[in-house]
Amino acid sequence: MKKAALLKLLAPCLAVLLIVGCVSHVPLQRAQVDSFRTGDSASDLQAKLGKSTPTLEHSFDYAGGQYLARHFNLQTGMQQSGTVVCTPSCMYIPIMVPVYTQFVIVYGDAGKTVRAYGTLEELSKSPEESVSAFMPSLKLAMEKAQAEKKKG
Amino acid sequence: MTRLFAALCVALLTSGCLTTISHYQLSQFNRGMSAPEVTEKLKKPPLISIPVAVDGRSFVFDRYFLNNGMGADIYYLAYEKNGLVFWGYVSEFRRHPDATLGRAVDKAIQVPTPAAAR
Repeated sequence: MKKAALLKLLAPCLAVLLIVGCVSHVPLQRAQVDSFRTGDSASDLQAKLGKSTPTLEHSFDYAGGQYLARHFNLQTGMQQSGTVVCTPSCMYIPIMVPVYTQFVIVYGDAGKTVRAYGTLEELSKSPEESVSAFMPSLKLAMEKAQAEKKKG
Repeated sequence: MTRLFAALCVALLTSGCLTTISHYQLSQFNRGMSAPEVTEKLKKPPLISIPVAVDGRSFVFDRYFLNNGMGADIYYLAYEKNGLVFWGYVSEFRRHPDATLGRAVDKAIQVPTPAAAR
């Protein structure tokens, strides 16, 4: 009887561990972003990215130039969620869930150097007009790439 | 009694939705968008549109409430020559390299929101 109750309690814990383990994209952390510089070479930035992996990659054209956009999940915090397990008495099991925001790195110069980086909102309202100007093209290409990813 | 309670709940929920915008919507904006394009994206009009003239330039500031999870903060969308030039909290306008935007938002915040729009 005790064993069954323990198994019931372990089940949600295992589920959470499996979900976390199955996350295919490693998120970016703020400390990594702080090391980025506009003009970094692609190889320099790759070293700074470490094990972080993009959620989406696509190219886009703007004003005769071709750019590469790599989207990442930037971890901005944690929030508490939870589940109630009844074995048969009920208990609340808190679970900490990371909070992400979409972060994009734009490479110019045929993908060799970092042209800009930030959240979609930051780049869209960038005071640097050459950056905010290419954002409508980036977003259109992003939507197309997302739709293709969903299909495939 | 149940009906009255349900109606109150619906009224409370929709009143919040009608007046606030959400953070996820902010990444949909692009510089140069017209006010009708922005309104279409947000699915709601501003609380108030405030014309402001500073340093020989003319702006229109659209005021919204932005949902912050606990309540709402005042948020502005600024247009110049019918195109969106910047959007953000008051503090973001004040830190903008174009100092005229900071001076303009300081004028905009002095205009109260009409009671009917709140």
